[in-house]
Amino acid sequence: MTNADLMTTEVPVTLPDGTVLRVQKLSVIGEQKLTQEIGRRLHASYGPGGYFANAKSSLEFLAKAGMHAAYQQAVSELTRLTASKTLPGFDAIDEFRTTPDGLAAELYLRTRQTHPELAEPVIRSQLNDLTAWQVCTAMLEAFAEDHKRRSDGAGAPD
Amino acid sequence: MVLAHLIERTGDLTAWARDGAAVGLTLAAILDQTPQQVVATYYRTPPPVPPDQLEALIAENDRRGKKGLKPLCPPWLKKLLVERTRDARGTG
Repeated sequence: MTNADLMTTEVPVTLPDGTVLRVQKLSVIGEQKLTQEIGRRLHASYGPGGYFANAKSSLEFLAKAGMHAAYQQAVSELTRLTASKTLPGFDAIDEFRTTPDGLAAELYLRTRQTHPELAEPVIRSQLNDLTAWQVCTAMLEAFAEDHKRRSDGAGAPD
Repeated sequence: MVLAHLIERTGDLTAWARDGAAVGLTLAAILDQTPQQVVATYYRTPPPVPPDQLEALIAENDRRGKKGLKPLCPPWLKKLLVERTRDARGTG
């Protein structure tokens, strides 16, 4: 058993069809890597235009409003983000995790040890705008409950 | 069973092994199945999901989500979920 195994816990998460997934809360490093991977996928979801494509409506607004200084500043910042290969910020990643695509990626990555034969598109097929938010909330609550149970068991304060 | 019968009839296992793909295609025609289904039955592995079938379901379920409806889970997907969410370690 590796140190990562010792740091890993499992919680049951139910998909809309009733299937129960054994979802893992990973080690600290595992969680960091998972966040990076989801950030990478979020960036990929912007399409070939990357940050520019994601900010298209804002750029168009600034151009139409004649806010040329702000437009130049925005383009400069977007160029910097693109050139430095910066991942999207934590808030953007957090929001992405509640979407069908983001949550499917997260559930897939968190079930590699427990359900190695489960393909990501199969998970994705059971998530839509209605259910992704519900499943995501259930997963986070299960993690919080698990953390509380462990804390109580160890006699540590919440 | 059908496969065993066919092998028995051909009587040449080596030839069958060399030409497994042809036998698979023949069986697929006899059983009215896809070659993938024949292979899946023979090797007892779950058949891969046809990507277009899954993509169509994802698109349909996304449309349902925008209307506030839960996703559909057709029998073939349910079967797949049951098969592939069995705990590999046998603890669940």
